[in-house]
Amino acid sequence: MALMTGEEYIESIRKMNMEVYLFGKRVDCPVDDPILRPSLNSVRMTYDLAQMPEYQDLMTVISPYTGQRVNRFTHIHQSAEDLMNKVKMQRLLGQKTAACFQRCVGMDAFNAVFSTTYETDQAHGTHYHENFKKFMTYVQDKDLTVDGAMTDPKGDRSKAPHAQEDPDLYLHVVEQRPDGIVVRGAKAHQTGILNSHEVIVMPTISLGPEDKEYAVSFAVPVDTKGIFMIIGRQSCDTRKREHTEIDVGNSEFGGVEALVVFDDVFVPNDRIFLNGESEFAGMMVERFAGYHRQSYGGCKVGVGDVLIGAAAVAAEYNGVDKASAVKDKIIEMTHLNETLYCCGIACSAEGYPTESGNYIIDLLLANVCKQNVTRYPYEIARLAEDIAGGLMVTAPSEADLRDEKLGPVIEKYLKGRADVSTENRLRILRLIENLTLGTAAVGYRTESLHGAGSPQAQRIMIARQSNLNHKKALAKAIAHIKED
Amino acid sequence: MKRIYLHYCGGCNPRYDRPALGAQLRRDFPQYDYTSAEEDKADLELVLCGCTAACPARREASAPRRFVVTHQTDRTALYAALAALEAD
Ligand SMILES: Cc1cc2nc3c(=O)[nH]c(=O)nc-3n(C[C@H](O)[C@H](O)[C@H](O)COP(=O)(O)OP(=O)(O)OC[C@H]3O[C@@H](n4cnc5c(N)ncnc54)[C@H](O)[C@@H]3O)c2cc1C
Repeated sequence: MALMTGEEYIESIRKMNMEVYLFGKRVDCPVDDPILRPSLNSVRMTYDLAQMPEYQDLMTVISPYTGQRVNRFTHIHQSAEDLMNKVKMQRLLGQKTAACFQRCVGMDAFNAVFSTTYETDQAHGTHYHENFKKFMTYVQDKDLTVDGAMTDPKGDRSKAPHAQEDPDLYLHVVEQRPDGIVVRGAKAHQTGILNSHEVIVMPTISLGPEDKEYAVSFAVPVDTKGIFMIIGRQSCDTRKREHTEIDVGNSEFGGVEALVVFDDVFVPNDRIFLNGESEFAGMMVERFAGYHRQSYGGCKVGVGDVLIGAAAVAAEYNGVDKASAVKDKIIEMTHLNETLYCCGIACSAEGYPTESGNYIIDLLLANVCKQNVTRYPYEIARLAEDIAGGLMVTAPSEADLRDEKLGPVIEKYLKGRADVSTENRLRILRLIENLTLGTAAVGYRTESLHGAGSPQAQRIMIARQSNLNHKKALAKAIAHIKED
Repeated sequence: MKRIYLHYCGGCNPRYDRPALGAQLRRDFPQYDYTSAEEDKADLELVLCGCTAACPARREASAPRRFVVTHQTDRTALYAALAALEAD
């Protein structure tokens, strides 16, 4: 069976020989590092839920390529229903982890590369689609986690890749060999790369012929010689080293990003999906970004569900849950969250088949989805902080709560409703802190803003897709305007 | 012995505890054999959906009979349908 258990997944990652750096030191065993482990647990959830009958319908699907039941994260979407189920699965996982579960970038890269390689081959007589299908069935059979690596460091944003002072600021091919290529460069902000078995690399932007060497896409195992990663710091990350459950807010789950360096990495021919066909870089970027902008209409909504729940619990513990103003804030949070879900479902329902046969989302609606995601989680977070009260950022530590002298003082003065323990009140406030300005805010706030492209990137796409001429014609018809 | 395929929806927005209801039904109707594998031939597909979207109900039934449960389903009707299966 092509499904790993959560435990098998953890052990498969343990066996990999990745070069990972954190706080200036190489991490011997990332799987057991207290700062990194919660992020691994989040990915593990994508395996655990796939084993449970009550989640099987969303988490798994029969692959038309292998005939086996596979994890949906390795699936090539075959219908609009598949696209909707993807969003629902992401919402479910957001609910179960209250964190970024990291496996979406790979799934979105899968579907973008699947259709782009097909169309590149049609135009150039290349064999990238066959290469990709071989890689895809391998991933499905082994139930692997794949990182989707698009974002280059980019240097001076006003300059094209070839015009940068340092040519490595965009990942590029430095050597063409009979058996493959050698690439150099880096990918920034890589979600979950150290919890992945493989990485799919794609270009960051549309490219012209002068940027041919930057038009490259491929997949390699993340422990390939020449790859190393430097883990990104997250706000409050070292609390995870303090062995506290309350202060971290979410002691079991988290997300992770890293700067990944490709220091002259060899890629064999059968793992290459684009190599110099620069006019197809834009298609790959646009499709990946489209799928990923859809994704946020699921994952952020699931995390939002937890945050709304936490705010409602905090209100109860403070004894204000019946106040109409508080109820109204919860309604507003729900309204914003469900609006994001509507967008995720809508762009999926309007999905259509590409030339290769897999389904793609409606690009306009996916970009509208992500544009809303750049805003609503901030407002939801603001309302949660409003309801929580100042204690979410001024509460003493768990160590103080456990202290013989200070504990009873904290119990007495930080109590809310008499029938609720102070500890439980602190637990829910710390969860709100975690989601709004602690480690999980990386995923819930700033990733909502910049992940899958900064807000302006969506506005450009919305302008391109908006069918404005049709709207103008409608207005002229209603106004009986006749132009010569 | 009649067999029931206990089919859960994916559970992205459940309005009741689907596994708990599944377990309760197993207890209340021990005369049936239960499976969670679609490939097993069953007499009834009992679909426990978390909400009225009832996603699995959009697909073809995988047993000669199907009963779809949502949070709005009248439990008396559900129990009557399960009791009737034995007599069929
Ligand atoms: C938590 C997190 C997780 C992520 N995960 C992944 C991942 O797994 N894989 C992946 O590939 N990427 C990932 N990303 C990267 C994400 O796609 C980028 O952050 C995003 O594309 C913005 O790029 P940047 O961060 O370099 O910001 P910048 O490009 O520096 O943008 C900063 C600002 O400058 C503006 N700007 C940039 N260029 C121009 C220009 N030429 N003209 C005018 N204005 C400009 C932007 O609109 C924005 O307002 C992640 C990001 C975050 C924050």
